[in-house]
Amino acid sequence: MVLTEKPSAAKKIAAALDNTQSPKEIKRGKVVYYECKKENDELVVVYAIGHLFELQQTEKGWTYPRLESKWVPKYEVDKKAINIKPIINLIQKLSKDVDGFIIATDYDIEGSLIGYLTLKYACKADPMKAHRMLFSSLTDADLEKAYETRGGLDFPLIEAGHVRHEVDWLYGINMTRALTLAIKNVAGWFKVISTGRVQGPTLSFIAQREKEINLFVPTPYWTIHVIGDHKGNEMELEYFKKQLSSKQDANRIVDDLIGQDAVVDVINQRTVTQPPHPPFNLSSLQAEAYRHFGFKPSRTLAIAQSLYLDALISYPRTNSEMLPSTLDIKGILTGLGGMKDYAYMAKTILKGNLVPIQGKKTDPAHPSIHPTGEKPTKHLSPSDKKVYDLIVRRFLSLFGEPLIKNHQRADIICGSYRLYVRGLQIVKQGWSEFYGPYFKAGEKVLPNIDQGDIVRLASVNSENKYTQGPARFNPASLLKLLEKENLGTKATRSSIVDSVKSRGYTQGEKFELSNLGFAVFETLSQFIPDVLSPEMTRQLEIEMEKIQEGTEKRENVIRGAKTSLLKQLAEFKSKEDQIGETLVEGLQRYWKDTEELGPCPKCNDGILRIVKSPKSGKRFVGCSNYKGGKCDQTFPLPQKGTLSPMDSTCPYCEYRMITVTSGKRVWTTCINWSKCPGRQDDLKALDDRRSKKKSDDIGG
Amino acid sequence: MKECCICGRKSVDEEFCEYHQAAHINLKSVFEIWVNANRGVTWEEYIRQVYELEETGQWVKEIIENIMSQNGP
Repeated sequence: MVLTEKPSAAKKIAAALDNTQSPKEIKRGKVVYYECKKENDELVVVYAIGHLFELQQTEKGWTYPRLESKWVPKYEVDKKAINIKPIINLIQKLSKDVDGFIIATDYDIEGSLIGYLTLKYACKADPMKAHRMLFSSLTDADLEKAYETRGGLDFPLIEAGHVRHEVDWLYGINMTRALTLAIKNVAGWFKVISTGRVQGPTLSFIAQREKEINLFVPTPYWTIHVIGDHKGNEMELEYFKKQLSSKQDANRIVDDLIGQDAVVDVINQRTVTQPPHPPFNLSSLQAEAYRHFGFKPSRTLAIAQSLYLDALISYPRTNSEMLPSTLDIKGILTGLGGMKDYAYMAKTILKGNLVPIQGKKTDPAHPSIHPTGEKPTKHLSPSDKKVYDLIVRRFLSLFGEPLIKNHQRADIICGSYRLYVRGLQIVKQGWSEFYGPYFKAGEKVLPNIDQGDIVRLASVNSENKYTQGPARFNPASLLKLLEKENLGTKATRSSIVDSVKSRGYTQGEKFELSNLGFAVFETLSQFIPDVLSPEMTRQLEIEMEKIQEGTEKRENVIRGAKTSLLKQLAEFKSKEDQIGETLVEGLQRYWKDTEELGPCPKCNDGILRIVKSPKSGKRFVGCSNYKGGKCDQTFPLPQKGTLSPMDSTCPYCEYRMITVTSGKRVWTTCINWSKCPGRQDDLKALDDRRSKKKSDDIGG
Repeated sequence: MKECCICGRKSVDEEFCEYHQAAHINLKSVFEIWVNANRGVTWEEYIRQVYELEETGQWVKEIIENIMSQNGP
């Protein structure tokens, strides 16, 4: 039995291993498996869907501390995971009639653990007797080689996976319950407030940045803009100081320079040689995809994962910036040479020496991300195509010659003042020719001037500007920080970045901390600051590495984690009331900001709030006096997108304005939009659009 | 327990919470830079200009609103 991680991987692996490359697909209800023959071995290829087993507490009660757990089928913990049951049942049934097991899940901590747990709890097999296929891409050649060279299971890697799950479970479940119960005990509300081993430090980074932004006071500065005239040709000159901190100084410089003749003192040239960028690992791919396409890291990871499952690229969850010497570079380039878009570049590279540039970062399991050279067998979506093109071009650029550019600067003097004019010239395109659209040259021609020439300073102005506060994080910069701080893993970072947003701790594309996020941060930093510190997580990552190297034992790490957690929880318990009060205050501020829309215009003493109908699940604006039967004022609301109350009122009807954010679309309207005299034209246009769509749909 | 007159958090100096207090201190300390940069700027002109700048932090703006509301229009 060959155990794989996903349905598409099972299909690919079965086809690659089968003697005729046409395995038999057998359906059992909604689940399929494959039968194939590899030489004389008869193989049954089955799949998991990620983790089939999860940790569940063994002691009773939704409280804390809870330290003991066991592995159970995922559907027993997550009621939505009903699709897991038939898969486990099928694996259980088929495993009774096989002679041996081969784990062919992704070669990383999670993949190894998935294989081990399935083997142990679904197949009830002895892991010591099982085999492991190790591969970095799903190409036929790699899979066949992995089958031929299969060895035993990598137990240190599995142990490290166990530790991560157990520690995450311990911290996640206990801290989340502690925070949630602190609120319940103080206010009687049940609002789940989560935190975790990596989520806490991530929230802390965002909150610290938000504090800096909120405390920022801009200071003024001035810049000098000079237009020179050289033999009738205009040129832009830079004043040698980029910023002046006084208005008086700026005015004096303008007065001293305007209309004066300046002399070209010296022209300097500096040649810079720039080697290609290193090969992609997951973080650099995610950063580059965000820069060029605006894709969130989690989206890039999902696309890269799908390209990997289609055998178009190597395994994407890698830290490595290196390509091993054993990689069939010639084969990959030959494959790429068969694709219209890359044919010319691949053939050019094949004529040269095939030594790629290497980066510094390494990964024990996988090389850097690279194309496999296989042709796509199905149509790639535009997003898939973009990421694939980026990966291929980065790979091709590794074989390019260095880029050579000349930086030129002419120094122009006028009395004691110095001015510059700059040029940038690409002398040799080198690798940038292959990287194509992802390289911005920024060339600028230096005006045709010589030493001793006179430049008349025709126009001199000063501009008043203000210093900028720190920038908020974007998904790519937050991901980069997590990597720099060694928090989380290449596989988990993007979901952590997403989770702070999905839990309501941040809002908007740029990770603006919400009142809820601030309340959680304030509470944790006041009462249990260790949870926000990256130190604990960093220490655990080090211990996990030691487990992988075989120099530390899982039991010791878990024992240490439990001891430290118990200490933190005891401290928490002693301050539970204070913690609950701080959180409740924060939640009230959060709800006021996100749900309250000011006084009710009908009864005058109620507050308008965004509420959700328990019956229909639809949201609308209602009056707080509805419960007492005193007021029935309601307003309909758009059902899609995120709503944020604004401080302003509608210029037509004077009702409160709201912002609606749906995907990339952001618009504003008033809560009275259905009756607002100023919005009737918009409503008519909307009706017309809907009617047209309906008639188009009917017309086919 | 005294509350911050701006946000209702626990106050640390009888008037403001730790965040608004820090914003107040920042606002006062940066005034000197503005005076050096732009001789003759008064405190009133300074806070009005800072308030209008997009880059100014939210807590600083709230402090200025508080100062303006005390001084009247």
